[in-house]
Amino acid sequence: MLGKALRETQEDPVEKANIGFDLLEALSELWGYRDAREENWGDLLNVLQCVLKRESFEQLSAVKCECIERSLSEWLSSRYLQKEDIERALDCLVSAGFDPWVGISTGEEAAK
Amino acid sequence: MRGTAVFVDTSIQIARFVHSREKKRRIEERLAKYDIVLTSSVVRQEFKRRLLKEAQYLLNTLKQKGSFEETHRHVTEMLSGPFHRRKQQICLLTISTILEGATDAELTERARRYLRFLLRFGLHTFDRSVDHHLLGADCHWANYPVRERKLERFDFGRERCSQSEGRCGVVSFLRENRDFASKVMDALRSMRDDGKTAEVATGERFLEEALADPECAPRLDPCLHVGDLMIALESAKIPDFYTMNRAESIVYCQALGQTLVIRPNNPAAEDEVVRL
Repeated sequence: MLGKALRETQEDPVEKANIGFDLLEALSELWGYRDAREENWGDLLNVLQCVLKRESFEQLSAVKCECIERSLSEWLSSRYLQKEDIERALDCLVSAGFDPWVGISTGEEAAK
Repeated sequence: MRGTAVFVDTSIQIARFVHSREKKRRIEERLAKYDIVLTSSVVRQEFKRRLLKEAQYLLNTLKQKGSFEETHRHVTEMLSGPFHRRKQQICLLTISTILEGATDAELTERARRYLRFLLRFGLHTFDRSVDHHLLGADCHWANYPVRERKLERFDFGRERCSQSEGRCGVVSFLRENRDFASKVMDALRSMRDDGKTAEVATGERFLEEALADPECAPRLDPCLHVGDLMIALESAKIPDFYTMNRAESIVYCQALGQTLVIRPNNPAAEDEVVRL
């Protein structure tokens, strides 16, 4: 639902950011259930959290919002995540312009 | 620049994964100017040997230490020399910046998950990040799949052509690309010795032996010892060569008449285009 709301709120950056904060909180709650799910699910959630924490939700493009919606409805909500699902999720993130490797990349501070 | 193709080497492919956001942005901006982005089998092998091997090392250390902070301290201490620092690619510290306030136990788990994710899906992203893979030297170990033998212990093959039991394609590659190899050889012979880097000098010795007898090439482990030369030969038909490694690339691109595009380490700096 949050993914859909994010996608439908293209005009108002403040509302978009607030939905983004709700989304981060929801993902953080989901993280608490990782042990009840398969490794792939927890791994994808971990990556999504890192990716989204580095985003400015006010400026999130329509393509990125669609990708977030897909990630939530298609993959994080699925009953069992297979290797192929993770590959599709990765492709979706990359083609939307997200950086799935942000969590292990050089930070801007270290790069200077 | 439409209608052109660019070859990306290992340094660029690794930077697209784990370098800073600004550097990644500049690389993607550059690649967007071309119609086709290509890479090759030796690049794929080096990507495994450099990035995935480092991920396995960090994963092992995290497992052994059981603590993110201790792992970071250990790695900083053990790999403190300029040589190791330059070779280090993965920045574990970033995850602790993103997840500010997370406990050591949480960071340990998240870092382990991230590294395992890179090991399991890194090659998938690598393959999708280009439009075309050149068969080139058809490196056996480049095609060897990454397998998780048991939890967090990965097998991504070996590093030496000589250990491929005849499944390495370097012999026929050198035969088919004899003209390019000879061009490089001539260029290296005409250089002064003090103008050659250690790898270029090794490349020259390799070419001398391999041109005289291509059958001996696998025994010399070219992908491991003269990777830059092998990649240069694999890229020979592509007009533009994109790299972060100036020293060897400038020699090989000049010999092969390619345009060299250098991505400087400083993220704020513009790419340097050298028409040779």
